[in-house]
Amino acid sequence: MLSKIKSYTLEGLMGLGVDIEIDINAGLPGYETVGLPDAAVKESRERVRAAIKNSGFKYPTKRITVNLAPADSKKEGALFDLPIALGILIAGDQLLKAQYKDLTILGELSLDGTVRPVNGIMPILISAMQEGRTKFVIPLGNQKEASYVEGAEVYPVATLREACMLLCDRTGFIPIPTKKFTPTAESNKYGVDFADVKGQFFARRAIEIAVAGGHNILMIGPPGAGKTLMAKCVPTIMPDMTFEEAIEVTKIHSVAGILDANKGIVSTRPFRAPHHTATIPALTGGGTFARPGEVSLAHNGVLFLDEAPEYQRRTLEALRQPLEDGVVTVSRARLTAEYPARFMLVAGMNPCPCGNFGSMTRECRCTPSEIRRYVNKLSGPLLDRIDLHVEVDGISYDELQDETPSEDSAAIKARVEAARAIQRERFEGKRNHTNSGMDNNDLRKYCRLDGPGDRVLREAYERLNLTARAGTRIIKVARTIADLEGASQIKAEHVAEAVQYRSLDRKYWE
Amino acid sequence: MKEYQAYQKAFILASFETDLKKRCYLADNALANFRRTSEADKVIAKMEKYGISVITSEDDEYPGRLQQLNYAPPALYYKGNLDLLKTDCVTIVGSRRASRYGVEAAEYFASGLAERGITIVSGLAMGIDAAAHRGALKSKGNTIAIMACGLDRVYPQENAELMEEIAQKGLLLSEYPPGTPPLAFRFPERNRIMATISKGVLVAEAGKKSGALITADCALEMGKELWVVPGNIFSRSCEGSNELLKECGRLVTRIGDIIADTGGEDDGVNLVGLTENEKLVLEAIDREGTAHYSRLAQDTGISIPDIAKLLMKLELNGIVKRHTGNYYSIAKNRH
Repeated sequence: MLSKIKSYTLEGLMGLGVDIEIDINAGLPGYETVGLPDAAVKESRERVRAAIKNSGFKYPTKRITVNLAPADSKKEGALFDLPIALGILIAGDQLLKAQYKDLTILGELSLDGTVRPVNGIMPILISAMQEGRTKFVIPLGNQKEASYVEGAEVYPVATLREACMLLCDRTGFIPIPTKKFTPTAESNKYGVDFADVKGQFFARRAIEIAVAGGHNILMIGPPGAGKTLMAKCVPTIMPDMTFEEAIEVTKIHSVAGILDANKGIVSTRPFRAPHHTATIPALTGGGTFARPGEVSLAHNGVLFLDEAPEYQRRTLEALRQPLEDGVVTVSRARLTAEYPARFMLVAGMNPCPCGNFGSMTRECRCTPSEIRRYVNKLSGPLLDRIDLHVEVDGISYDELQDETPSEDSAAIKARVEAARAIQRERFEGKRNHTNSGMDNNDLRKYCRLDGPGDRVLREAYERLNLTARAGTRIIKVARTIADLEGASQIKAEHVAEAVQYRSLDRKYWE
Repeated sequence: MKEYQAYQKAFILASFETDLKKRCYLADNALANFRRTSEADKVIAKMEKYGISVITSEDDEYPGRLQQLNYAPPALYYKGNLDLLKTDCVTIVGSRRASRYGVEAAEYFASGLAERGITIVSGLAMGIDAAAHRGALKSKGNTIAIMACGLDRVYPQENAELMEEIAQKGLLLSEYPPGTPPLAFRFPERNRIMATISKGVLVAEAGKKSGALITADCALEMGKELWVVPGNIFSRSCEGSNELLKECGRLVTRIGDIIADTGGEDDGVNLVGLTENEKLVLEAIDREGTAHYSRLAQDTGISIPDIAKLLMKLELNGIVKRHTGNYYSIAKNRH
């Protein structure tokens, strides 16, 4: 007998339809999988046999051939366990009343017959829906995630037995209701708040500007100054994600297998902080199946690189493409995948290798050449993509004079959203919708400096030894500062403030 | 072509004499020695071509300060604003092969003094001299370069642009007629002029055999002030200047030191032209030396956002300097 069940596998962020054909015929008992299965698929034989047996069915002592069509693309993962087991039962005439042609079946089996959750349910469901398939059988553990896919008729199952009952008679089963995403109800669970950050006037202000204009930012300060805490606070002042944004993020996180099954959707902006020993594939994505890397996991959120000069230079250079294009293309022998990677880069660094340079209380033991080498590890092209450099106060808690309570994230967020609204209007109909992404045309159109502003910029070049590349950065940041104030024209004071955020361009360490 | 009197032509011809004493003797008896002053016309034509003017010791405009010299130059060739010789001058001298420290010191004193209206005199050599001129020009002050060759010559070649700029904005001066090459014996002669037109001489950095030491000696002989910037005791390029300090020079570390000696008022931090709040902030920084902005906000009672704006403005205007960790100090040239 023959059975044919529809399932899906992952290819990058897309689902790929797979027909699982099972034939049982007389002959020496055996089991063969064809159609480019990977190790996890091949091993499914043992799981399937044990699960069938332990669910009270009979494992056919015949020759079983499993074909995964299309035969020319590589199949991965354990999500074919459930359809294969069901296929064997159908082909073995143990489920005579089974109705399954309209169903797409996904799930991993454990030996006792329970169905385990799998990765990538959301992108698979979305792809399948686009191909006209609307009815799904998925593991119970994935039901939250699936519930956000609009229009899908999803039946979660807990065991192989339950799946068999579903196939034979659907009357007792109700598809899970589709949920709508409400950002305010679910977000703001970041666990940190800008109210926790004491002092740090310049750093707070710089972060506010950076978020408002979509700029990348570099914080320079001694260890223990609070760089990490402030970086963690960055997502709390970013505008809430829209449903579309949340789905994009959820798809990536689902494929990477880091989605919280209890939530089923990523409703807060992601904050990713890879360690400085991270390799290029870890950062940009890779591995045999071109998995998404940290830059994609940080999509629509924040990528925080603490101790930025400690990263391998090549690793940092690999960030340039995603910073420029907002996507990262991962090419591997078996497939090429493109993952979105539009993130805000927040980098942190010490002012020198020992961290005490410029401190009033502790002595720096680094030589000037050591310091220069340390700072030079951040290459020009990378610094080119970071609009703001800010010095974090290297001040001990006792020295802290400011007693006024700090402003909380909600207040800052309100200002950020106002500034973003101005930018949305300005860039309406364009691909880019923040000041940081302005090209030369936009600069000419929206960033004309008046006389005093131009004079400030020119004076800054002379007095502060600015390098040439600082120019456009300063103007973009000045535009954002003006937006935060609601000013239509960039004024001298906006330029003056923007100039403050170019510490590394000043050849500070010479 | 400008018309010159016969005595002027005679003086011009006298200035061609290489020996200093003889030159002055010739000048004293100018008309007797040079009856055929028409020979001077060639020189005058050349001066015209290079835009050089001349003034002789018989002229009314001849600077009084030079007349005090034992051997006053019979003629002075110049390009630029001669009135600068009537202003308060300070001469800055030092090695040609100066260290970075010396160059910075020269530039610092030159720009700081020039900002306070003092004219910086130097010899347009490489190293300290060039730094002194640049410093003065940077703060839009006055500067005089005294050359040891004819003004049609460009010496040293590296300072060609600087020379041009000084001719435009300051004064180029030489006692040698056009065409005179810069020979070694002329530099000590030139040094006596540098010393005599100034209130004093500042030695920024000098090695053991530096020509700057000759200028320093001239200054002492004429009873002028001699200021010396302390140098690194391990550096050979500071040996001469440190030796001066031991014997006779006055050690200076800030612009106020020199201002006080020239009869000006050393009022510590220069607060001219600042608003009330800016003065408040500067005074607070001055008390602390180097202060964090949050400390300044507390000391002055100005709110943090306001003080941040003030500090930004002060920094852009070069009045305060920001250090790592957002500490601020007063920029060196405000002292």
